[in-house]
Amino acid sequence: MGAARHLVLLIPDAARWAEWSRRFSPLVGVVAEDALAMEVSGLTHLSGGEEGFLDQVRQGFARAGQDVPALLGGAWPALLALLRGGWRDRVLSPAEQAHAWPTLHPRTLPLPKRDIVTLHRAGLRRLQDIRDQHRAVVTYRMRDGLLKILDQVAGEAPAPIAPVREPPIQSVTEDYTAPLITRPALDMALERLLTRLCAHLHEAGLGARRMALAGWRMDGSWQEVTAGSGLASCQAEKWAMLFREPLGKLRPELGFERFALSTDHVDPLRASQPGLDASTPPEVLGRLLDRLAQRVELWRLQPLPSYWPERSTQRLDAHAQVAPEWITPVPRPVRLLRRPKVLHATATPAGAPLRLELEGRTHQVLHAWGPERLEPEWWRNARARSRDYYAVQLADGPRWWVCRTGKPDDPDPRWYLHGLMG
Amino acid sequence: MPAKTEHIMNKPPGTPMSTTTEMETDRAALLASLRARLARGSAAQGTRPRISLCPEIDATLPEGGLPGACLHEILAAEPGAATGFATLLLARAQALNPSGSVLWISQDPDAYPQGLARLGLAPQHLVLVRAPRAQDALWATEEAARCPAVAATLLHSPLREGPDMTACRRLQLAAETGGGLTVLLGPDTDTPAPSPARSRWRVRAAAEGAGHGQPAWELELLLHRGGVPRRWNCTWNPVQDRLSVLESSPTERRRRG
Repeated sequence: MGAARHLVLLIPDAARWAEWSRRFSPLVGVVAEDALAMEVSGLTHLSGGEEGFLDQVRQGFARAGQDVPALLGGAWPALLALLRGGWRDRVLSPAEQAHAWPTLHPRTLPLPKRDIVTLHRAGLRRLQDIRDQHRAVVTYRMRDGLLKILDQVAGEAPAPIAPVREPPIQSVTEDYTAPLITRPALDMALERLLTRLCAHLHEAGLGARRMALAGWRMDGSWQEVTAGSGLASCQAEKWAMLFREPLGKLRPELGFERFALSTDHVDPLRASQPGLDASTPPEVLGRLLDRLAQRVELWRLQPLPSYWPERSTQRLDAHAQVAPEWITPVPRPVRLLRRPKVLHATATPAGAPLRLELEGRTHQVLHAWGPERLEPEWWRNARARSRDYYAVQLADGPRWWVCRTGKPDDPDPRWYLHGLMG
Repeated sequence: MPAKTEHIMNKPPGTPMSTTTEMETDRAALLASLRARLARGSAAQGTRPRISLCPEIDATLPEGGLPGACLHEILAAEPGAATGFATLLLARAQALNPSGSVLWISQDPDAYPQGLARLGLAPQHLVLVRAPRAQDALWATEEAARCPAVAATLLHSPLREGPDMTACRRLQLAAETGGGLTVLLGPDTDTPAPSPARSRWRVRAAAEGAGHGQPAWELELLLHRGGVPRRWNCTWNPVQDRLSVLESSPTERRRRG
């Protein structure tokens, strides 16, 4: 089934080791509670062939304190079955593999115990025997899952690996014989990796939006830091600047022995030309917003077609364009309090406020413009009360935007200070 | 020292004093060169952006307007009015740099764009920044002030004291580099700390002259480099986009000590 090469290994608590094993291959999946499978087609030539790659993987795990039996071959279900059957630490060519798996006992397959016992009692003690039977008979006696598994083991049915993390779009790695501990060493390593990755991106005409730097430590653990940019870019200096702060979060301790810089979000690059006049290009603003986004939260506001004050604006990413149509026919406050303050009010029978008391201080109202009645959006909240908004001018100066929930003849009107007007 | 022998540096020492005609010519040349130097100095200042508030206030400011690439402080005696005045400054600064953005930095920014639009600030240029920690807010303000693509930056600290002297000096330098207006909006105090800000204002809300959607403020210029403290009562007319002064009065000088 194709020429894809896989490496399967048995390790207790495979889920814990899955992410760490990405140092060997970008596509690693947990295929059983105690087994990992990784796709290694095209990776092995860097380690001096498949034998060398297998040795490297076993040594990597041995340094981390695990002795793992591993097999490198074609379809991974067959390799898993072979591992369970006792084979280990070999590179299997397609011919060898095709001869090896039919000799296995059905207990090496991931079948429920009852089915294995049934097969054994029926005298089908090798996978080749099951294959020799008529397919319809096997389907009738056993469940269909057995044939599907057998087809996958034989390499005739596809067996995709669900990766523990989506493999990145582009990635460059470096191994170090002397582990990197100091910050200048990390900076230099990042610079080298960035130069290589940005060269690849530039050739492909892509700009990266998000980059992740993963480092594997000597003691078998790994760390990852990421940096993002609002504008797609393949300039190494810009990414070096974006990584300056996240790099400080790495904890070398005994030192990093391997770094992988990858990108999983790219956009096609458009050649941007600076404006013909002296106005600053939006790139400068984009760079500033990226730098600020590393430490603080930022956004723009977009008008929503809703008159309800809390829902009249929507947050957008700071790099987005906002429509210039903001309609304000009626005066509105400059600051809308997120938590409106409770007021006690004395009002005329018509409903306009005469005196307002906030947190113990009484204010006389000179003039109240209103009421502006806003009915709630009943499709959102059926129990909300309608609001009457007044823009009040107080005798000592301030202008407030206050609202009363409920109708004027309501026995329990509640007054709130919702905004401050300029 | 007699005036005639003061600045005649062109003559080598030891030459006898010249005749009256020559000295007059030299003095005329000296005055002309001094006048040329002054003109150059003011021309350099003239290229710096200036924000015009309204004709009456501009006339009393030393540079004919509020200097643009500088740090200014506003003490909020009343929060709504101070926010309104700050928004007016931001809007005017953004009008000078039409492609620039306005950054509003606060612990929890609650600016309402529909209200800001009535003071002339178009909300599509506004970027809100939420920085819960004071040092992050200062850092963000400095980065924004330094960026030439930012027309104006506002650091709004309603609850805590503004940045200290060193931080203010860094903000002033950053504003000069970037060319944009930087405004610090903080709580009102009776004893504000000395600061390198180019001007400091105290804004109160006034009741006279106010209408529905027409705010009235009492602007008090506390200090301005080269300027005189003064107080104005003004109203803002959103339809005509105009600040009108109703009354202006000099503030009484407080004697120190």
